[in-house]
Amino acid sequence: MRIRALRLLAFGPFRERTLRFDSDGAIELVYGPNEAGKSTTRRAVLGLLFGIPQRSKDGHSAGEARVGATLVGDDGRALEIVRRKGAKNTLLDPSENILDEGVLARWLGGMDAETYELAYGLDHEGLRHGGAALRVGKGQLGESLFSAATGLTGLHGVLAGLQSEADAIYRPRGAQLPLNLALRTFAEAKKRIAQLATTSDKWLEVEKQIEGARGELRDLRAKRAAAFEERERARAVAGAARALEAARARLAEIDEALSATNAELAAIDAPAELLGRAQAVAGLQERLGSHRKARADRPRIAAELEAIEERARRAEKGAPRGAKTELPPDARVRKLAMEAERLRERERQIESREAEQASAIARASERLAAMSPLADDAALRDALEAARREGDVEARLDAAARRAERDRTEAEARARSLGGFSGSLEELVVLPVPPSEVVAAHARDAAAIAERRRATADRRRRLEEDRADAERALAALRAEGDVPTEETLARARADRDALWEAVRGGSSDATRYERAVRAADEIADRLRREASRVSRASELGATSVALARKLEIVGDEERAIETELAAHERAWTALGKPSGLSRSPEEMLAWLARWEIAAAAASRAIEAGKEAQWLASSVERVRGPLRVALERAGEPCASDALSSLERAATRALAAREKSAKERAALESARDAGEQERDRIARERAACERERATWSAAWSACTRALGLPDGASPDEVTTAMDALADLARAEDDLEKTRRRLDGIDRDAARFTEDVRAIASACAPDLVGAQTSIEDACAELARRLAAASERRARRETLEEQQRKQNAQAADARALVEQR
Amino acid sequence: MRIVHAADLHLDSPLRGLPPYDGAPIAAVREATRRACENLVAFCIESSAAILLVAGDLYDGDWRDFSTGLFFAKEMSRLREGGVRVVVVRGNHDAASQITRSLRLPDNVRELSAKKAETVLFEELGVAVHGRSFAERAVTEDLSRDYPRPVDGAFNVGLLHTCAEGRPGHEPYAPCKVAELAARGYDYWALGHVHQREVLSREPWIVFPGNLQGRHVREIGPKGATAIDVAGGVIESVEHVALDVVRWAECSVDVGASASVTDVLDAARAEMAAELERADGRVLAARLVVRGPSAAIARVAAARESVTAELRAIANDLRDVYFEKLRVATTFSSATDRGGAGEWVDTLATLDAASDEELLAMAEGALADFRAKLPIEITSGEGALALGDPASLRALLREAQQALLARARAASEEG
Repeated sequence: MRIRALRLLAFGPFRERTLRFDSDGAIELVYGPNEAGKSTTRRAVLGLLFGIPQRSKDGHSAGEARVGATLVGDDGRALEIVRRKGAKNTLLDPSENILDEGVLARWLGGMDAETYELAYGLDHEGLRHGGAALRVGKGQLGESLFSAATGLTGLHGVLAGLQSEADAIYRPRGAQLPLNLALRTFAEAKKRIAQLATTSDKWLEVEKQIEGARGELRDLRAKRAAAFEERERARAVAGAARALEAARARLAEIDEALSATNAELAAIDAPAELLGRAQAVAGLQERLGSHRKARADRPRIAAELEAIEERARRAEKGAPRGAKTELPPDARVRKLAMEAERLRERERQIESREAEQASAIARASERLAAMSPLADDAALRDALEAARREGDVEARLDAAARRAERDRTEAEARARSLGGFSGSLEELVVLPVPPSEVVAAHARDAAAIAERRRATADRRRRLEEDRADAERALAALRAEGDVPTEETLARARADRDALWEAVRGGSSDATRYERAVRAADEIADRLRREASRVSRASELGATSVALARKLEIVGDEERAIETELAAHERAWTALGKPSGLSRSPEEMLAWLARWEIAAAAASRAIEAGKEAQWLASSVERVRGPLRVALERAGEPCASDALSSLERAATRALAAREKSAKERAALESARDAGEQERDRIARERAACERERATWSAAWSACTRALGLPDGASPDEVTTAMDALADLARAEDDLEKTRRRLDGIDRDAARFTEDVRAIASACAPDLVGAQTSIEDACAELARRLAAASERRARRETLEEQQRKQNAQAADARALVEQR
Repeated sequence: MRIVHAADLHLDSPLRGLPPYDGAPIAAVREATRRACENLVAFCIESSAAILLVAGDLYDGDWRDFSTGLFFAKEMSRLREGGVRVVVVRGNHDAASQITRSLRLPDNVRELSAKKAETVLFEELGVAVHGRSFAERAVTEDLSRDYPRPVDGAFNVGLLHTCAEGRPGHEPYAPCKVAELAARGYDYWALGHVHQREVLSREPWIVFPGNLQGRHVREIGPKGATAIDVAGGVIESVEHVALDVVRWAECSVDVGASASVTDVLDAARAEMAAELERADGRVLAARLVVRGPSAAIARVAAARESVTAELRAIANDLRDVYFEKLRVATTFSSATDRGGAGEWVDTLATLDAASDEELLAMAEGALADFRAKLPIEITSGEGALALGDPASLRALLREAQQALLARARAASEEG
């Protein structure tokens, strides 16, 4: 935006003064002396654009201040405005209609008065002010100046960036910004430290409290100890008073008890006589029991005696009369009796086993006799083994025969198609043919020789043609006229020189010489003139000579080749002779290839034939013996095939093996039976010996018992029992009699002892009125009573001693109190 | 006889600038100062040290948790069991500490008086330790002036918390003159307060052992204590012993104009791996500074978040590396890196923003509100973001100038 015209309608000293700025983009300079109104004009522009300040002194004497202008935008549009001084609605159009401030603001691009001042309204003061602001980097003024001065853009961005960073860190009233937060956290942490810290004052206070409490504790402990002591003393005093009272009562009690004891002691009487024999009385009491028992038993024992006497009489009746005094021991007799039983049992067993074995042996022998005799099957086994070793030789033979037939057919076909051969296959195989390598070498040699021959012939033909050509050309050349040569010139000159000599010598005429000279010169001239013809003729001549020489060489070569060929053919004929074949080497090579195949087939056929033959002989070798062995073994086979023979032999051998096993089993059974029979016979002999021994011993026994020799063990046992009963009865009789005697003796002694003691200590008991047993019991009773009284007296005496002592103590105690 | 000299333990002082992220070895750094202290105690016991000298600043001044003090007392008990005597002076931090006032230490620990310089004489060892504690945080007088005369026939040690002749980044407390210390006639001056290990003199030995454990990226390299071997009253050797558990490093990568982000990452990995190797089995806390011409730096800066994530991944992959943060710095070679942006860039580049007082005032004003919002831990102390301090502001302005320049160039090159 530019100001095209500024109209100072009424401003300061100006009235209706217009400044025009028409230079279109150039800088317009308005200048003037001091006080001319330059600053006023500047203020007028400021007032125009942003309003004339109310306090402004720029009002015109004629009325309110008023400025107008024509503004031109960058796009060329123009705007006419008028500004008047006032509170509001100060912007007008030329027709004095109110204009919206927004219209002008848009033209100004939002610039405010301060920015305008900084950017465009600089005066001396402003520059100073702006510089200072710059140094502290403050406000739009500084920034604008800074930018204006340096052309630097973006300082605002840097400052704004710094400001926003700063704002993101801390704001005076921020709550959640990092520094605000950190400060708060710090303050809180500090508070917490203060809360958590144990201050020394507090520590000391607590320590003092602890000390106080300790002192108090000490005091209380001392007090408690004193109280304890006091209580103990009080307890002691109270205890002593109670004890005195008790002691007095006790003394009275003791005295009383003592008098009672004394009285009782005085009343006690213990018979010394009886007490002195206390032990004897006790002994009598002990014997009294057995005495009573003996007295009670005696009738029963007497009855027993009678029963025994009766038993002895009965036994005497049953015992054999003639028994010796020394009887054989009962155990031995009984043992012999048992032995007899055992011997009998054993004899019975032997008999039954003998019968059993005899029948088993008979059965086995019978079956053995019934069996066919054992045949030797070794031959059959060997023959079969030999046949088996050959494997399935018949099948192999069959296959080999077929193969041999096939191979022979093929080989013969090949031999026939070979041509030039009519012998057997065997001859074909051994036919003396030259090796194919040799034949091939011959073929190559023959081909090489033929090639060379052909090449030599070619060369001869070419050479002859060339010579004919040369001679034809020479003839043609000569036909054109003779051709001077160096030789003719030399000759002419020689003639000339000879003539010259002759002329000089006067032997020839000059004319001839001149002719000769001319002839020589002519020849020389012609040589020069017809140089090409001359050289052509000499060349052709030389060529012809050279070709003739070459033809000679070729002739030599041809002869050498012929010789070689003849030698080669001779060698070939010699090579083919043995086989009787005469063919060219090429044919021979083809034939040899076919022969090789045919010979190979013939070899195979021959080999196959041999194989079949060999197999047939193998079959025959094993079949003969096998058939013979089978016939000998009585197992002839209907079929003659080897396999059938093998099967028949296998069957026969299996049957024989089975039969042999059976026989072996029977024989071993029979042998075992016989062995057992022999063993039983030995046992029987032993048994008989034992029986004889036993009979002797038994006879001795029966004789001793007074029994007949043939007495049975039962009879002997019965006799023995009777004798034993008798002996026992007599023994019992003796014992019982002694027992009765003992009882009677003891009774008498007891009575006597009781009477003796009674007469000493209790005479009242000695008499017929009292039984001896009652006397004894009475003695015991009296002794018990006496002992009791004595014990009581002793107790009382002890009591008396103690009571006396207690009384003394009690008395002392009471006196002490 | 061995004497171990340590200072500036700053127990339970946090390791700063390490953001929490997935896979970061947080556990390793959490109690690093305590672990380093344990290393110190173990070293004393294992090397049969006779005396441990601690030249101040056991605790952070504003740290109130008494358990820190109890931890220290427990470690001192271990030393007692190991037969190690301990002499401690309070530093500015200890003087301000609540803990120091109330803590009772075992009887092998002697804390020297703050009222006046005193001497502890270990007759059985022939060692005399002279020293004085800080009575308050800000001691500005030269404490060494009234240190006692050396004890004849003994090995004399001066234990002093001091900024010496002033050290940048350290509060100027208890200043003293090295020459005057040397003239005192002691055999060894065991100093504390300056976190960077430094030998001020060898005749006699005047040594800052540095702090025990680096706590932020300005405390890089091996940290630990100094072991002094004395035989017959004469120093045989003075050696620094690394006792830290987390090693700080600033890895620097210089790139060419055409370097891609991948190139930067590759170089960074190599650099971090090398530093990790040097850390000798410790956890490495690493910052990466990428330097290069504006074009390359703009590429890196534009992808700052993703590059940071990649670098963290590399750190995780290397194991035992805690990635602190990425910084980028544009290097200008006036001849080659004009970038064709125009005259103004040169003007901006040569503008000495940092020395413009008016600008400085303006910046201070602009940042005043923001500064008010920041906690005191950030705005004061060592390595602080001291927005009110002209020197810090100047540095910031310089940095801002560089950043703006880089962006403006990048913007103009794009435009």
